[in-house]
Amino acid sequence: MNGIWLGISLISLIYGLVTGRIEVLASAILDIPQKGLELAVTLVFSAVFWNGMMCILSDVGAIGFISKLLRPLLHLIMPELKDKETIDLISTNIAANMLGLGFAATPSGLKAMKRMKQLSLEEDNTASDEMVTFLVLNTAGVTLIPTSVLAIRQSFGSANPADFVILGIISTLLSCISGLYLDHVLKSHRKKKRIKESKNAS
Amino acid sequence: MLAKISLILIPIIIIVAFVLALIKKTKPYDSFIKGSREGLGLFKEVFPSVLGMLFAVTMLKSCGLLDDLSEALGKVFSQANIIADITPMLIFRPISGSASIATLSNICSKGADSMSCKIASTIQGSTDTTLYVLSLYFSSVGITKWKHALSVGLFADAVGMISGIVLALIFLS
Repeated sequence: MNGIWLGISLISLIYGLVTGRIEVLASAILDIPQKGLELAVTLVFSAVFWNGMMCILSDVGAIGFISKLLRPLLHLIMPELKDKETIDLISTNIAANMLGLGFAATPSGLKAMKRMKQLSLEEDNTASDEMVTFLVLNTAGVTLIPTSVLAIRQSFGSANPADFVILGIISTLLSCISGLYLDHVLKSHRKKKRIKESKNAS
Repeated sequence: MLAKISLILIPIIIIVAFVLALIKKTKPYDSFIKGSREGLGLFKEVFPSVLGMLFAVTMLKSCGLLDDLSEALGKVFSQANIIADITPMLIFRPISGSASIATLSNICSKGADSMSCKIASTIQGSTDTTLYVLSLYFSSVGITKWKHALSVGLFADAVGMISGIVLALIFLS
């Protein structure tokens, strides 16, 4: 992260310097604290509001309900995963992410990783196949209401700040499915290779 | 049509929450207060990273590199300004949530209903910060060999971003 941050900033600054835009850059730099505060306030206040609303849902047991619905689907995606505790933790993580409850999502996700590590047959520092599939699901996971985007567009006076929400959900699903497919292909490819190698060895 | 459904989705989720609270006899107001209090703690966490990333993003925007790119592309494509607007979004989305949010804010400040803003919003809504999630979860259990997780994650991001762009161009223009 440090390298990326430094790289992008430095390249931009030097480019601006060389092309004679140093004054524009200077005034942009002076604007940053004010703009950053406005952006952070927009983001945090909407998070405060939505976290409150979604907490109503989580207190009536919505995370448990959605995660129950997800379990058969999870079985389909990861048939080799038999451990019930891991399945519960993963489905809870995904359900909480769907509701945008990061507070509930991250702990269950970390616990799921811990559990998978205990059950993993891989070397100590190597990811197991289940971990990879779980993280593909997690990084491509659906959020029902992308509250921070809504807050930003609302703050700049959009006529319909939510117009993209369904499209976002559709592309998330496409992204998730194609990620899982590639994961599946790579996994079975590796398994075949392993079987071949063990045959050659014997 | 899809835009309308999206708008309705928000009050519907809130109605569902209230009705469920009524059926299950929980205390929705207490839940709301509890949840928002948790959210309030975010400011200390969010502000520094937003500020830092806003710096990098603003430098990239103000140095003119993207404007020059847009001008060069304009000779080939008719919608070059959208391409130049979206490019930093495509770079930052898998890397950093704060950076992509700062980029989105930059784009939408020029027009909250512009095509660029709509595309960027769809992209932001369609994937998570792959690099951040992978390093958080793997490092929590001391894993350094990620196997194919990164390539698959970035591939999924690419699909999400491309479909986001295509869908936004079809349904929101």
